[in-house]
Amino acid sequence: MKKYLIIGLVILLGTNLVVLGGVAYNRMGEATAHLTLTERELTLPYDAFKRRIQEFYLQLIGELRLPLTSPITRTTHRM
Amino acid sequence: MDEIKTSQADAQHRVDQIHAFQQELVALDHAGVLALEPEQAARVESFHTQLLQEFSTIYDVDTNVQAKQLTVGMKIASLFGALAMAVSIFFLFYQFWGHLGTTIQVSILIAAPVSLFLLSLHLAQKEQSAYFSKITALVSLACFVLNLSMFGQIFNITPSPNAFAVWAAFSFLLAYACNARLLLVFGILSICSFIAMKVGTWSGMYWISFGERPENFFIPSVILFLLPQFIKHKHYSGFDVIYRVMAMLMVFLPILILSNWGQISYLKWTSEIIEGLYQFIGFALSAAAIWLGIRRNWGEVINTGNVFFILFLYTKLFDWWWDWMPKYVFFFVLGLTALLALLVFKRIRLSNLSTGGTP
Repeated sequence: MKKYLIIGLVILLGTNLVVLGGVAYNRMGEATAHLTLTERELTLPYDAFKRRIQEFYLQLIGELRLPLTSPITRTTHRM
Repeated sequence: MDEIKTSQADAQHRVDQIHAFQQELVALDHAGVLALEPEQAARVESFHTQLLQEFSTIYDVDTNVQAKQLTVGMKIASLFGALAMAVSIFFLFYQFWGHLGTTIQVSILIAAPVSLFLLSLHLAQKEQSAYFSKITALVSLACFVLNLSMFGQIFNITPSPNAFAVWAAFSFLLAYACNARLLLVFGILSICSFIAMKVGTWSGMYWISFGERPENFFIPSVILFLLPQFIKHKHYSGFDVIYRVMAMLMVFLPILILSNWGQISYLKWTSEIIEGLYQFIGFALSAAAIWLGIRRNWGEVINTGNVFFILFLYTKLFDWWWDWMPKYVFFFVLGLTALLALLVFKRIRLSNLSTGGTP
């Protein structure tokens, strides 16, 4: 039982350590860009079920609008 | 823990053996073939009664039919309980998440699976049947899955297939620690998905699209099928069966898909040739599985092979005849094929009986 305990703790804590270490490393130094979003760029989720379960945890979806300076070309990539 | 599990499985086997012996003794007595002397019968009965009491108190085994039926009920209740608790945790996190700061969120996400893991090990050590430890272990796994996926959302981490490898490792560990077959199934599904994702990534696809190439599941299925040959699971009830059935599902389902949609194969031939090839492989493999199951006395392999042989046959018959045949003739032909299968199985069964196959 002791070996299960040790391996399990290594898996749980080790994974969390690696993930949080990666997060900390990623946030080191100065930010390269800042973006401020207002209600113009955000909408409520369309899915009614998601709205209900996220009564307190509101998820907002970004909408990107760009000026049409040149004709849009659309390419699809086959993976 | 290992000691208890070994003895518990062996003890249940011994109890079943005693019951079979008692029934056979009564039948022999009625037929006038064998009757024990009253003194001998009393000695055997007292020995068996003492043994059954001992097994019942030490190993918590089922010593009669009613106890066995109740155990089945407890197993079903523990399965539903575990699933419901896991779903409850999921919705609980979502309900109150917005009120908590990032530090508290991270602390809860780390502490929940760790504390439940410790509790499940403690319960597994304490109780003999391990029902509560299995429920706790499943909830702990659900919390660990939530832990990594919520970290992804909170810190905007790039999705990675490596999460499946870690979930698989934790599932396998819990399955072996608590002797839980459901967790073994989760572990097998996670590790197979991980291998399929990795192989898919090496061939140039984005890992989330791993389902678009069913051939990626062939490698893990072969490994899974061979695993019980090298690792003995004497202490764990039904683990060999789970490995073999899951391996067969992982190979037959992709073959079934590829035999109908050849264009998603890695092979560079035309769809018709690929579909024909996979149909042939499907028939040959399911027939081989039935043969192997009969030879090795693996009931689960025979049944899975049978199911897929019939599935391959009926999808082929549907392809050939559904459009042009009147429906009553089509279903009549299906009925005839079932009769033919019955005749074949009867013949195999008779030849097995005449050669004195394994009881």
